[in-house]
Amino acid sequence: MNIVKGLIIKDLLNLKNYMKSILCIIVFYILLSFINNDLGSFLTVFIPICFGMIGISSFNYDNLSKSDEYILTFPTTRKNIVKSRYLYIIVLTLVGTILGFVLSIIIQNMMQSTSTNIGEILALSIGAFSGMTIVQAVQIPIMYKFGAEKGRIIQMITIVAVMLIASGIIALIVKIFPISIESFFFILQGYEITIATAIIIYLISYKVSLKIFSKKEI
Amino acid sequence: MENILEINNLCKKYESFELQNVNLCVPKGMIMGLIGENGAGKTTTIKSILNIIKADSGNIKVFNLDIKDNDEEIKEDIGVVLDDCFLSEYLTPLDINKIMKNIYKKWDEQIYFKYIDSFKLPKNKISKDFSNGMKMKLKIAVALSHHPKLLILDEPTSGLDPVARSEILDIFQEFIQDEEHAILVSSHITTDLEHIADYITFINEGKIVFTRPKDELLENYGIVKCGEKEFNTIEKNDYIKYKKNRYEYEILVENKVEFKKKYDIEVIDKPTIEEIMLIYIKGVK
Repeated sequence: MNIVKGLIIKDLLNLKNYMKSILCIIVFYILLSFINNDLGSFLTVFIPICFGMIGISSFNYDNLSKSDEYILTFPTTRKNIVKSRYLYIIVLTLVGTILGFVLSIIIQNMMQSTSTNIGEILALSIGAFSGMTIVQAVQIPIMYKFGAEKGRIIQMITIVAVMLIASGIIALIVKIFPISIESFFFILQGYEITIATAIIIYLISYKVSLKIFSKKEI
Repeated sequence: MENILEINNLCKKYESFELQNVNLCVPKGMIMGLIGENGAGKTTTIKSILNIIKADSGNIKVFNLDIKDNDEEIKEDIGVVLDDCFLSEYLTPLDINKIMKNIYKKWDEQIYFKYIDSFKLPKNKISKDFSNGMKMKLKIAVALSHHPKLLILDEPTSGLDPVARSEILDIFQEFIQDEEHAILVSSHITTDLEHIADYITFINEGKIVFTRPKDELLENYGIVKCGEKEFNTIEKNDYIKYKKNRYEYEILVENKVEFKKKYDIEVIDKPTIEEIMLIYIKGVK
């Protein structure tokens, strides 16, 4: 398990180089929230997505310095390498989600909004976290399969594809079952179901990546 | 003599390149130099040992253990320098210590920082700003800091200036002093290997051409230089290959003393490893 920790530390230390840019972006959007009188709800979604994308960028870092090859000389299994990457990305997304949630509440309070709507922010946070996790569940195996270079283009195509398929499925469900779109999202607001679904998809994705990476020759 | 590394009949086929029946042994206390052109199969061989690529057939044993079943255990005791891959250049030597102490059970901070100091590397600067030589020294420091028994080095002296190079070569010499360690080092800077290697393995187009003690190569082999008339008197069995230059023939012979006894040719030079390699690749039989 130590090695998984070591690999996560590696990704975190890589991160510190653009910590400054991340902070700048966050501060910028906080200011924007004030100016726009937006009660912080944009940040609730924006920060988890931003952190999730930063998580995925660890593939680019490794690709740039050919670390992926070097890491294979470490006394560890490919399973641990994939595991550390999945943990790192989901933890980073979670941190982004919590940060977004906390900042939104602080902003709402500071703007002395009469009705601080924690429930609404929480729903947005959970939606953002689950959505991002599902997107990553698609992205990571693609990164493993095609590498960070080719992966980037394929990634964009797949994100669009995922969104189209997802909305297709929702439309289909709404059509088949006698429920309205509003009530469909209402069902999804059962937070446990949403989060559980996202995590299960993420776990399946982990298994897929493991299979791809075990066979891969660098 | 006990072998630290043993490769038996390693085969690996790619679309445009094939490693054919590679056999290689590195005994304890020895430095094995692996030479060959770019694309000859040096890196493929090294990557196979490290289980980064999977061989089509053959087996590889390190510390007498099969790499397929004992991957983690083996790698705990191997120090690796790969030509152009390492951790991200945005990490400082301090960062790398934080990472590596989680990676290797036997990671030794003291030794690591001792090397960092003696190589005069700044601890708190990202390695992107290092010179090529400094980057290489950092890689070598990392490879040496978990008490490895075997070093696998792919082009470890490229980019180093002469002073740094001799410094590093000294460290490698020191490493094998205790007779329990060994080094496999690939390089196309053959003069480096002339300094430190005990054995030389020459690989060409995916095949091992020879493995010989370095001293035998340098002392016994000879390069005969003569004109066309004399060349025609030499029997085919008495030389390895020859190369025809503008004015003379260069003929590689395995044993210059024997050759001298048989033929009346004056000029037989002591070859360098580079010359041997060149005649093998460019010469004809």
